[in-house]
Amino acid sequence: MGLLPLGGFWCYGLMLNNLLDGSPFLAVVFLLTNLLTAVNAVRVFRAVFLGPPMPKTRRVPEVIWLMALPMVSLAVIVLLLPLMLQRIDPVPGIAAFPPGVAAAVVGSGLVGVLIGCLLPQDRFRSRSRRPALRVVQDLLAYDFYTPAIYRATIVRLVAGLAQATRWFDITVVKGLADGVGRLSMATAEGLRLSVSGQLQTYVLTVVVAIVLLFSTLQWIRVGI
Amino acid sequence: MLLSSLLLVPFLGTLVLLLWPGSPSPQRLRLTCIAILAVQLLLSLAVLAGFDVHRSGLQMVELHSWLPGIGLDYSLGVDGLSLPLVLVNAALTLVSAVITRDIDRRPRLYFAMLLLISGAVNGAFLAQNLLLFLLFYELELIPLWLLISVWGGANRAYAATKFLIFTALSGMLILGAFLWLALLTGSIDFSLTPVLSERLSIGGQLVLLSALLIGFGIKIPLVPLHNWLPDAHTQASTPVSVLLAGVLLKLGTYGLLRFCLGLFPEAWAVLAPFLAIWAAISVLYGSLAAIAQRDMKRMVAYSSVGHMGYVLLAAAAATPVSLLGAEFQMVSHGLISALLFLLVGIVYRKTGTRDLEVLRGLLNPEKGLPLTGSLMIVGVMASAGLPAWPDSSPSFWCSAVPSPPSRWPHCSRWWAPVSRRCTSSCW
Repeated sequence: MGLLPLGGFWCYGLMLNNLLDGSPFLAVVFLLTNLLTAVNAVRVFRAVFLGPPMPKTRRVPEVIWLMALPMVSLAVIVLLLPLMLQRIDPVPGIAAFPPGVAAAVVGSGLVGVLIGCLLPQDRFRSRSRRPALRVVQDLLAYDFYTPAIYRATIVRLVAGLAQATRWFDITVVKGLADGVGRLSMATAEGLRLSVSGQLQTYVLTVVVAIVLLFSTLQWIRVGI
Repeated sequence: MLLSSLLLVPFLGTLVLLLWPGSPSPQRLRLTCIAILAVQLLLSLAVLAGFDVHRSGLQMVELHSWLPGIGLDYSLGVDGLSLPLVLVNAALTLVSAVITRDIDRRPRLYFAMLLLISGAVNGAFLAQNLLLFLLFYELELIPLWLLISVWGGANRAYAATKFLIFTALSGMLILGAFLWLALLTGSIDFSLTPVLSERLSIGGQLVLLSALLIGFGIKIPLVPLHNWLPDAHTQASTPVSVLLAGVLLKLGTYGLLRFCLGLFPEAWAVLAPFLAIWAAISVLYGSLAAIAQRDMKRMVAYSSVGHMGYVLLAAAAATPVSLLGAEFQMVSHGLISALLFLLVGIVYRKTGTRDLEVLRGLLNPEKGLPLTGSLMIVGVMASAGLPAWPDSSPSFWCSAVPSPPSRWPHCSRWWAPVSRRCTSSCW
């Protein structure tokens, strides 16, 4: 949330300082995002950890030390991160960006925290029955229906193309290959009826085939 | 003699297994086959150790006159194009033998055919004579047909026959092209040299190149000549699928680079834009067809069709980086597809089905296949060409190289990576 003296303050301050030079609109978006993040974090904390106990939370003992150790260690590292970075690569002092930028970063975080503290935790409001409000809530809750739109457009298009390709492969390509095979079998069955049993017929057939083959090859050769 | 040993060891091993007296147990036959293939792998590594990477051109050349009357010489050599494929062949054939279990029907014939295929593929990759190449190219046909038709699935007869007819047609076209090359140039010298084609008109070169492209296109396979592959993979056992996808398809792409681009560079330059379009269509077709499949093995087979299109795309560009990408793609696809087929085989063995509509929850650490699932994630990410995985660099090189002065490769090179993501996302 960009609150002093935590690590996020410096990086947010530097980012905001650069954004102000390049794109003030994005700087406003940045601050608004920071504010909304703070609102949400505090709201969730209030909902989960504060207030009267619920049936599911009435008896929830603390975790054993094996589970707590990595979390506590990580929390300590997060708190000490600015000091650690100071040793590795000295972070810029608080004067690295103007006081106004520092105030904006801290202010957006604090305002977000304040709003999060004051927001009514009314469970009826979190899922409103008013159609207009419900539409907006659902739009945000379901990520602007992006997965549904993605499924309805791109996935359906690719799946349709895939099914069409599969149909083409089975019906046309495989059908052609199997058709040639069936034609060959049918031709062989038909030729079987023409078997005369006479050697002269077979020799004549072979000679005619050889003459045709060499004539074709010679014709192709002359053509090339 | 080192290159000849790569052929002699598996061929002699075949004879040993076939002539073994008595009735050896399947386990003994399997261990013998593994031992022979391990020796072959060591010999392949010895070739790698003796290969000078700073020298271009053929190395370790062995040349003996065999049948000079018909222009057939025993001519072997290894270069940067064939050496990686020889290594992949040695590794994957060994893997196939190791994962082979429960061969109770004719184990002697099974392992003998495995060795014969390995030797034939080595011979095809190392041959420097057109007829010698074709000899080894055709030699692997019958063993593979046997491996599918005897030890395959329920519909194995149909799949094996279709494979046989398609591949035999491929061999006929290639032989016809080679013979025509000799006939038109008036020379019975079948040594691998592009000088022969310089005597032909560009029209003659185009005709011969087209025949070779169709012939090798069946083997690669390229759309619409691919129809034999899904059925062959679906009906073949897992070790045979590993061999088919990892090694045998590379015969087609090797032939494409060695004989099509190598023998007819002028005609290749003329056809390059159309080849790039053909490659892009093949990539997209294979990827889209893979998405629509319910059978896992069939899905991997169609994805192989898509991946092999990349090699043609890179070959069409014909720049040093793209050809490096093509070579890298062949090697990485061989290893990755072998892994995927292995994993699909494990799933099928454990669950009894390959139907994607039925399979769920196999990543469950207690009652599922967490290790297989994790390896599947690795294999699929590698197949999709995600950065830092083996297939990412070749797919980038194949797709993003400076193209020759023609706008067509610019159009095709951007479609292909999208299709790969679509295919892998369906996992």
